[in-house]
Amino acid sequence: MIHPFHSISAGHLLLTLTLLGGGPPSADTTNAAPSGPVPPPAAVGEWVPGEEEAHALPWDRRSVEHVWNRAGFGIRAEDVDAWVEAGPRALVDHLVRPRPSAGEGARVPYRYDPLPYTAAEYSRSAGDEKRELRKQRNRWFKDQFAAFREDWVEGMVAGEDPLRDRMTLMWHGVFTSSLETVKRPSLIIQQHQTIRSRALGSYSELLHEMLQDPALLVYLDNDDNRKGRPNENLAREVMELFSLGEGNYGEVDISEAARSLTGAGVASALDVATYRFNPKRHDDDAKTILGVRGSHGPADLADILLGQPACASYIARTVIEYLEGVPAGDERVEEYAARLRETGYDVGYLVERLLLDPRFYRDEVIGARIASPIDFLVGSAIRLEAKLPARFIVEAAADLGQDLFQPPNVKGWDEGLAWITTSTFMMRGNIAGAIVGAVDIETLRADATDMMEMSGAMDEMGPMTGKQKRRAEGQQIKRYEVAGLASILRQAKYEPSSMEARAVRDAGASSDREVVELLTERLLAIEPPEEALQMLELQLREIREKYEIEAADLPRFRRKNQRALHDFSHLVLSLPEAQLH
Amino acid sequence: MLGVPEAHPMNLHKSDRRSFLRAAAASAAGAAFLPQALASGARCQLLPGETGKNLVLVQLSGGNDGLATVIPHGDDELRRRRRTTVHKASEVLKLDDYRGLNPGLRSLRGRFDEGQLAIVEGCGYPDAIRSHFKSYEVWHTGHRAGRISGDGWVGRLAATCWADEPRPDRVVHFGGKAPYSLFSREQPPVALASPTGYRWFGDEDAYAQGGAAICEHGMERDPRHVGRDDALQRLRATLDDARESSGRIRGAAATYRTEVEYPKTRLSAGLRDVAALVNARSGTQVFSVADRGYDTHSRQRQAHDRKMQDLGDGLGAFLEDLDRSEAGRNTVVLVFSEFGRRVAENGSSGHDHGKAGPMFVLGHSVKGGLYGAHPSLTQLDAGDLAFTTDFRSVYATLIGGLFGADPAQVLGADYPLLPLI
Repeated sequence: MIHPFHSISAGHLLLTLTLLGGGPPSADTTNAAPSGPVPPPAAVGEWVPGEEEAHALPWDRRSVEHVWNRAGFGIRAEDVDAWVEAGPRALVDHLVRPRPSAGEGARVPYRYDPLPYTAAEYSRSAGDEKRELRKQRNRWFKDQFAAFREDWVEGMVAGEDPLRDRMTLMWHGVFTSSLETVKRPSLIIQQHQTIRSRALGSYSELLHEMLQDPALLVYLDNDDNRKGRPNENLAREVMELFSLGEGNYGEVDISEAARSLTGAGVASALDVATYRFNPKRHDDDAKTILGVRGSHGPADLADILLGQPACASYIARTVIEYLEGVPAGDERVEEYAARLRETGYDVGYLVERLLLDPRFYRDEVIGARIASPIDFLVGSAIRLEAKLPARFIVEAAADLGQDLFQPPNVKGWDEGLAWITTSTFMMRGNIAGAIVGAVDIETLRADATDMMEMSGAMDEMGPMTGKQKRRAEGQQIKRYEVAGLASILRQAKYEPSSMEARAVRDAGASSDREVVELLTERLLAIEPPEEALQMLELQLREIREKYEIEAADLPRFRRKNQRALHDFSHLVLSLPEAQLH
Repeated sequence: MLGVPEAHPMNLHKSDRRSFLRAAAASAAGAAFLPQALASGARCQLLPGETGKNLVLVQLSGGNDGLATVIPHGDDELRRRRRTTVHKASEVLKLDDYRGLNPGLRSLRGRFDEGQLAIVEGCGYPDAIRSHFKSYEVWHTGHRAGRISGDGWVGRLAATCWADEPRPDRVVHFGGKAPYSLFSREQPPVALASPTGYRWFGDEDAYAQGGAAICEHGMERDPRHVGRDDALQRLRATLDDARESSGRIRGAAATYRTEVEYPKTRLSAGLRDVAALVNARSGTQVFSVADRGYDTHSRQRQAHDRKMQDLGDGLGAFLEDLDRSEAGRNTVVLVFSEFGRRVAENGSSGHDHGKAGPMFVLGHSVKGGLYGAHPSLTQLDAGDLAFTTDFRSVYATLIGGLFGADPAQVLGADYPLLPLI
């Protein structure tokens, strides 16, 4: 069996997808001591949170896949049964307390490499030399940021610590910062590491640390917030988006909070920065924030916010709605908010309880969440066993509206149906086509030619040589959104996975219906409805006829079959059913 | 979709209704088959088509500083409150002794002189909110309660005016995600990044089968899948809309020719695509584009001037392009933002979130000039400009003036009309 906790080395550009996460527990790891920031599970006989609920859960393939979809980024169909067997408690333990990967090839968190020259060298330089150093810096930033984002996405696909990745992604949508504003990737990377280390820990500590986080302070202009000349940006967003939610504070609270945040800025050295509190810029006079009077500073503000009843409710609602994908009722939110308050804002505990809560498995929730671009792409890579370049996933997610570390605004990403427009819907299908090899640069070239003929551009340009024609087409192709992604795959010499043909061969599936059932199970994160299966059965027959393949020959592992099944996968992954998880 | 389609189209989901209508139209007895609600004809006086008007919404996201857009250069208070962010009086494109336009808006100055630019000053709403998101909800829905009140105002306009002839590209947003104003459960808008790539590359007949037509293959109604099936219903309608609008929009963009040179900005790329669709008379009636970068908390002067330059040059090219055709001359442009900014500058040579700001209404059908009243720089509402005109008056004017619809039906209340159409 594949070792599920094995890992790939950092900086490896291609995803090594034989090493998939989501695998069931194997004999040699179940006894390994858990580690990480979360305390080890209680000894046998002691009360374990959620133990009694675990017995009441409807536990089947659907539940297992549901947990992996929401608490991770998906699971291969063939790994599901082992988790059905292992039971909910084992799966939740595995997610909340993953085994460490140790030894050779263990993933290490991405580290920023500082610029190869010093601030002093930079300020001494002049003219051409300075320009050269600046150019070098821009290249450096671009490369580091790309490598960092790709490293994270590789981690998601490898599935080593899926719940932590999931919650880290959620928090990046709460405590937002954007490289576009912050400019220096080292700050974003530093913020990511803080969020990651606290993603399943204490929200209270996370809030305190975020108020000292260089990226956030720069992103929300607090570096310019000083006594006598307050800047309200951070003060407003910390209340509205990071802790209380709109309606739970007044305008005066914001201006007073802004005064408490004066002086909280950063000390910069070329490409890196650290938190610096400047007492000279701080307004030490008395302020009243949410009814609490004192000469508050940033830490006092965090404590005042944490003491507000609205704070725990806001965080509980954020977590529940993010993972369930449907609105949470007030009563339920209050039940979880109470747990947060009792535990001093322990988010790991909250998530653990949620995953063992039968309401997490209700019919309104399962299969009803719109997969975000990252969910769709990482999930498809996992299910298809596609060795996609991480860069492809990062860029495709950005094209679909989820540009990691560059959210559209301070509110982060809107989840749910907001991801889906007529345009992103078709784009998802085109990206799926690129992943399975059904859409490539040649597909676009053919379409570009059609478009040019349709527009009469060909006639206007007069007779063209082959070279001129290709150049004109090239210009046209650049306007296709999916073209950049297709080029990434071409440059990486990407080969689509043959998972489908292997699965059909191994199952000996020799009727359209069998193949449809087999492959929809492999490709989709949800159970498809019967009407979709019937439709796909007809479509598969048409595809077969196009490639002149008899039903009896479906299990043959040959080029023609692979291509036909890739066309079929392209269609399946373009359907409404593939946008849910 | 979950229910067996009954012979009452109003109870059906839009896509089902569409196929129902197709089926009804195909049958000889089609007209007799239609219930009264559908057969009664258009509810708006002006029918879509060559004589119809189009509306283009230009959203300036982040909170555009109204006082640096329409600049009260004749007010000494401005210089007292704004030491580093104020323009020299000599830089301002003066409209009169009191106010003038930002130097970047040269093209709009020309339109003002030609009587094609209506400037509505001091637009806002009571109990203004300084949150970007909550304030946009108010602007997008026309309701103080925001999204809780339901669909966006353009979505409700579409449901009021074009429910009888649903087509997905009645309302089109260029440049990614559509703003909430266009949101409608019944008539969702088309939103796209670039028209060229706006298609699905594969066997389109097979793709079509994944939409609402899939119901023809028989339905499963298992209560275990209620959540999934609700979501699928929406997604299948999106697939239908995508497929139906793709050919039309791509065709219009591919065949579009213009002599006008647009600036190389994202805003202008979107405006050029709008011009292509307007001139193709593709049946789209409300267009939307959005630009961002207006949230100028620090070092506002340079950043905001650059935005104004992009806006002025982009709109200049766009309006010139629209001048060339009748459909273009029937088009009206509305420029707005979620709020203005604080009168006094903050400690970072920027301005924090404020309240009232100006709106622009542009086009050949517009009666140019100044509307509303410029807010006082001394009698402030908690440090902000107090609004003098409810922005919904502008919406109401356009709803009635361009589309012949009842503004109260769309906005849920009556607002005084402005004589600008």
